[in-house]
Amino acid sequence: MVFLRGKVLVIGDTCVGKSSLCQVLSSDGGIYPKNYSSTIMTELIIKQVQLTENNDTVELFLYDSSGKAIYFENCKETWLNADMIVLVFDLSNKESFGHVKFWYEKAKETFLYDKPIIGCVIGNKSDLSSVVNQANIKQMSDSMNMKYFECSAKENQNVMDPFKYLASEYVKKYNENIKKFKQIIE
Amino acid sequence: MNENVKYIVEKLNKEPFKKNLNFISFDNLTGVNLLQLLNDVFAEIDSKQKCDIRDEGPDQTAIRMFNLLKVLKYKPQDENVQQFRQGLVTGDKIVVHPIMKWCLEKLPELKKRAYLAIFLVKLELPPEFLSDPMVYDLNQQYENLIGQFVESHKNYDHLMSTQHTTADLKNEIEQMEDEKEQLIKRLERVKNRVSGVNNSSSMLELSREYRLEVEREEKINQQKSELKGEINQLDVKIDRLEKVLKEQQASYHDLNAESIIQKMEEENRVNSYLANEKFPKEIDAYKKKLKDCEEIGSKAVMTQAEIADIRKRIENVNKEVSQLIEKRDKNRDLSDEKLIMFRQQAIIISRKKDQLAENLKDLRLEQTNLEKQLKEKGKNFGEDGPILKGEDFKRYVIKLRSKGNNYKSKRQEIAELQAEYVTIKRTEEIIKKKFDEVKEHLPADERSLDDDRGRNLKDKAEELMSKKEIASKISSKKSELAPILKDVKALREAIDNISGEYETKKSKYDQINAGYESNRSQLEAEVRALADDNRIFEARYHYFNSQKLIYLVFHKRANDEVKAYTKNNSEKSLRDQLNKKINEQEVMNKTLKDKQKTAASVQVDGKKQIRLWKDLLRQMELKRKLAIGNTTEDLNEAYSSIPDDFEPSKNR
Amino acid sequence: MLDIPLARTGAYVSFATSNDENHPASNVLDGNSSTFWVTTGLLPQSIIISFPNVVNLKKIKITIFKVQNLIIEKSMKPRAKDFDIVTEKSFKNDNHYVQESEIEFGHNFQARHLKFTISEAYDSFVGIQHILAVFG
Repeated sequence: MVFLRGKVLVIGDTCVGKSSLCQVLSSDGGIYPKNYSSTIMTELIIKQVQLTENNDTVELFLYDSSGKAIYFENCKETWLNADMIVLVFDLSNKESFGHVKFWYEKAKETFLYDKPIIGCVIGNKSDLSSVVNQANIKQMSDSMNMKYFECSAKENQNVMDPFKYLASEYVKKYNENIKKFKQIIE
Repeated sequence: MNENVKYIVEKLNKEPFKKNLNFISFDNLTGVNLLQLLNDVFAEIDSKQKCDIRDEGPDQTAIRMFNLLKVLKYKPQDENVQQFRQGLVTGDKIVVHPIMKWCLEKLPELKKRAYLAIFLVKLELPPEFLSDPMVYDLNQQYENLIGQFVESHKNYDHLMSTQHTTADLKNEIEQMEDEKEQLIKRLERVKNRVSGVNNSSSMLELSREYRLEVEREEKINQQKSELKGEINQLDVKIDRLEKVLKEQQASYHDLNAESIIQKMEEENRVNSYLANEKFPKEIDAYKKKLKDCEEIGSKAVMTQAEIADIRKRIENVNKEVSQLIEKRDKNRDLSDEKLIMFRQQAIIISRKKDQLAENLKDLRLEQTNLEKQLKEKGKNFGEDGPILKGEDFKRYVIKLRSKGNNYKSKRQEIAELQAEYVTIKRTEEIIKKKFDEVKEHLPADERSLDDDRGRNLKDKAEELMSKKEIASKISSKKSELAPILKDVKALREAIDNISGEYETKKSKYDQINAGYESNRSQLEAEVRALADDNRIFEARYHYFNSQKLIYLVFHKRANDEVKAYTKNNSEKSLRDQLNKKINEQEVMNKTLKDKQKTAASVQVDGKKQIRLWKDLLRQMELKRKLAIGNTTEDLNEAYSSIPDDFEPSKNR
Repeated sequence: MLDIPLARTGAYVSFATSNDENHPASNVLDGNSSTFWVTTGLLPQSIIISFPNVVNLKKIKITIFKVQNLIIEKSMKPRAKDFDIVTEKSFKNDNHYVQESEIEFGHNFQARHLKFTISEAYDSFVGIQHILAVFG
């Protein structure tokens, strides 16, 4: 039974639904902000994810960053020492999908060294009609070596899955690290 | 007669006579011998009669015998006294045998009577002597003494009949003496106890009163229960009687004279019918039968031919009767149907009446029979107290059954015990015999065979030796065991000590353990609480750290803003940027709103125009078709054929 | 002197930002090579070692894993407050070996508490095998 904490960056274009996703997550589907309120720089939201096997808990520190250009520089400074990345785009907005790669590159820049990143791509607003090609999505997520999830913050559909995936990957990494460490000592 | 002889011979052969007679010899006894025998029997009854009759004259014997028989109250079978006396004097078998049988049958009774007779003879004094006071007094005394004798004799009989042997009485007396001693001791003890208490006398009084009261209470309770039982019984009786009363009342629902008279009249009618019609008919029928039977009886013999004749005649007469009936039926008019019906009904009813009368007669007969039986039975059992009915009878039967079962079981027990007694006696006899035999044989053994004695002595000596060896072995083993036993004792003592110590130490350990457990649980709770606190603080630490980072960036941004203001570089400051954006947005907003307005207005006009144009088109179409010359139906069709989104064809 | 595990000298870990039951912070003091303390994610992570009273320290040797930047602070107060930075050390990334480092203090280096803060790391989880001290 381990209790881990991980820093998660929630990044993407403006108005893709990062903040609503985070709020729906933290309230367990209770609150969905109907009116748009632009996130000022970064907001910290903590979400505990329980994994059923081994009763592990991972506390995700979600850094919900604004997608607006004016805040971009400042947000980048909060991305230090991140453990996981979540790239969000809007399924009804082709442009947002196109910018996913851009966000990924920017995030990578903040890493001081090469380490395999745990992350996932989320296609939000699945309740609206999708204009993005599935093949393209698959291609892109494979190129970044990330898993792809589709969800709807409004309908509270599929919202937990990507974060459960992140948590389980995090726990795996932790256990591998310990094994490695033990090996090295001996 | 032979039975008598058998009986007499049997009895005479037994004690105390032991005459050793057989039938023939006894039968042959006559005269004096028989009389002598009779005298012996009488002697058995009354010892004074014992004598040899040959010594005394026949008259004397006769007189003696008569007296004795009078005392014994013997009643001769035939009334002829003279014949009886004569027979007795001569020693006639016919007279003597019954006397003998009678005496032998009732021997013990007669003994008693003879014995008592002496004392209970009432003197018959003529009244002249009675007037004499002395004689009278003596007579009175004598009668009193007789009375006393009777009483004491009764007591004596009673005591003899109760089967208390002296041994039993002694035992009882001993027991009672023991009890008396015990009671005396108890009394002393209680007295000692009581004497210590103050106001002992008053307490004793009170206790005595209390005891009396308790006894009275018991009695009263008993009475109460008895009375309750009686009440229950009476209640039951009451219920029964009430039921009977109700029945009676029901049977006589009205006790008016009218109803009684009606009933009486009915009964009268029935009886009169029976008397006047039925019974005479029956009587006539029987008389006729009787006559016929007498005729036939008076006639000597009936030959077959005559019987056949009579049968023929009977047949002829029957035929005539049936013919006449037919004729009668024919001669009746059809309109007499009603009469026929009525006649038939009357016949049926009369038949029914006859049947009912028969039934009534039979029932009455039965009733009388049963009543007779009841009376007879009542007579028979009228002596045994009230006749039990119903439930009482059942209870009585149950009691009887249980008592019968009891009696049977007890009788069985008695039979078993008797059998046991017999066998035990037999075994006792056998053993006695054996014992006697052994006693006899013993001296025989001792006399013979001194060699055997010598051999026996040797064997005995050897036995003794082996016994001695065994004894020595036993003693040696005992001596061996003695030290071991000592050790065992010592060890046992040690065990006791150690177990005591162990107990104390164990209790101490338990105490400490309990204390330790409680401490540990306390500590565990503390530890858990502290761990929880730790976790909370850890979480807060990390949260604050993360938040700090964001706020630092905010802070930095704010500082940059301030710097931008101071440097007056409108491009960099966030505020300016935002303001710029806001303005842009507002401008866009305006333009879009204007666009929207224009579009709205255009839309309205446009729609109107479209409608107008479409109507115009429809009109033209209709006119065209009219010109071609179609019916109204076609015109309707034409009108509706132009839909709202009609577009005129271009090729016309 | 470096062989004595600090635990025997009465030192104890008074604070640690990560607590995994299988790898508690006290493992750094037990001198056991097979035990270590591991962080459960997030940075910065710190660990404070307290002595029962003020001690003179000559040098410290630490064996760590995946740490990039380590800050060492000390405090003289009875309670672990008011830390002063002693030194900062950076390490290179090494996937196969533990990073060992010796830090020497000057004369009259006294401390009641020592705080080790990991500010930068090469991975989400770092580990400290042991911290040994030489008293002078």
